[in-house]
Amino acid sequence: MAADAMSVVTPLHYRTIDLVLNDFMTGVLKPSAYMENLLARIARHDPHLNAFIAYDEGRARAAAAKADEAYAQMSSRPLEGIPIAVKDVIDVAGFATTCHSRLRLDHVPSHDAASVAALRRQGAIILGKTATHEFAIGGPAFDLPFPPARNPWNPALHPGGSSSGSACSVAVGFCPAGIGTDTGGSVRHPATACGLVGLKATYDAISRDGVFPLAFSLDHVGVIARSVDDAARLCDCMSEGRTQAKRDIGLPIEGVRIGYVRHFHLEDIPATAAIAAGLDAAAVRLGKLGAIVEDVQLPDLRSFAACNRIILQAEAMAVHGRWLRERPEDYCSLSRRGILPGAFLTAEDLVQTHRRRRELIVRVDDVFRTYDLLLTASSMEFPCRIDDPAEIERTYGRQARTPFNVTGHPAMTLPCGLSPEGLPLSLQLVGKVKDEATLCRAAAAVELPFASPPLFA
Amino acid sequence: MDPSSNGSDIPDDVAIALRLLGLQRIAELFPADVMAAWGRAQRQRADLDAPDDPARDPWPPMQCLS
Repeated sequence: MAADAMSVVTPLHYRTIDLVLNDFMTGVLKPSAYMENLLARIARHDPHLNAFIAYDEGRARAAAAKADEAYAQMSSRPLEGIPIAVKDVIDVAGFATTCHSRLRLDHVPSHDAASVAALRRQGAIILGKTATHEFAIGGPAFDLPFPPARNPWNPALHPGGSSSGSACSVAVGFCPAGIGTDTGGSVRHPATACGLVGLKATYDAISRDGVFPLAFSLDHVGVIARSVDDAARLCDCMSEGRTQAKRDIGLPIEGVRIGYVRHFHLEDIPATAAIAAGLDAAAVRLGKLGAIVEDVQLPDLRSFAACNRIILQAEAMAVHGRWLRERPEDYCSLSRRGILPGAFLTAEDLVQTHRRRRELIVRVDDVFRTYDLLLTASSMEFPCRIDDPAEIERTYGRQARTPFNVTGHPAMTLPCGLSPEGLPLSLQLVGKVKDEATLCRAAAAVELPFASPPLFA
Repeated sequence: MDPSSNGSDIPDDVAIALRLLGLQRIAELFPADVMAAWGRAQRQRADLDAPDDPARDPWPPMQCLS
């Protein structure tokens, strides 16, 4: 859709970065006016949604005023005046990095994380710090110093995690994009639950410097946005040249070979009928666009999940062991239960898991000798109630995102319609290592326009 | 055993492991969490498929991506 046409019909708070930048460049909109619109929306709705742990209106207004000047003086940078929300495990100078935990309430970094610094260098404004699960693992929980973020599609529901607040803030129109971290799907899960695009690039393409680790060999910094183009733009900015996610967007996808990993959601962890139907419909759309879509076989999804969990818990225990011994009462129960298994795993378990991990990487890379992309499910079920811990425990692992933390391949989830109950449907595309360009090219071809949650027009 | 009750319900073998790991305090304060984590670790070990070749060099995973 042409930028001008979409500007007419899309409320300011729901415009994509692409549209907002166009409005800034043409002088239709000033960054300070845009910021006032968003701050008013945050003040009105965030008390009910808890997306932000902290934001600073004064700093945001001052940064927006500087952006006004930059446009007036024709010296704007590529992201000048674009507000971004940052998950509270990522350092932003001057804001506490609490990790949503009592253990870190007073930790105020003096420097930005590398990813945040890269965004600021291009002119982005860091709006504030967003809710997460404690240390990106313990949640959603009600025994923490801050409440959990809610799902704007239905505030009674879990918004996905652990980059919950970043997704909530983008979905409800507090800012056009947010950043988070993804160790077992923690960017792509809330993006899925909130009807957004979630992208993690190839492992290590975006620096983890200044990010509190959950599990260093699985952790990725990622983006949550309203369009593939916006996600690709921020990815390329944060990777500082290590990705070219935006390069091929708009090119046709005739002849692109896509392996459809249907057994993930039909056999390994069966998905609900609406989710399976949404994926099949997306596969048909990709085919009509000229892609060659064929079923492929990967190892059982549960094998990836077991590998992910053991590595995650072993590495997380190495981070948290001392605090768990000395200050266990400062963690929430879910964090204790989530990290402590790492203490009970043996060195043999970890070595065998690393062997298995290598085999899984080789199996996925073998498929990529024939195919350019993989198409899979993201979640197998819709989000459950946020106050139903038993249902969260049952559903949390019913997903197909962890395989690509285990293997490090770039992966993106994006909306593919709505269920009969009116909740977002999502698919996942996965690219070859270091080929974010083809991933985003196909994702942009098949993406649907952003749909806002009906409760928050 | 009732994992929701106090630390004295932690089985002896687990209690020995907890002492060796220096985790007595968390076990005293949160026995249910500790037993849940213990059970989770056992299940995960069982869930992991044995590698096809147990003698194979487990190369650092990142090396496969370079």
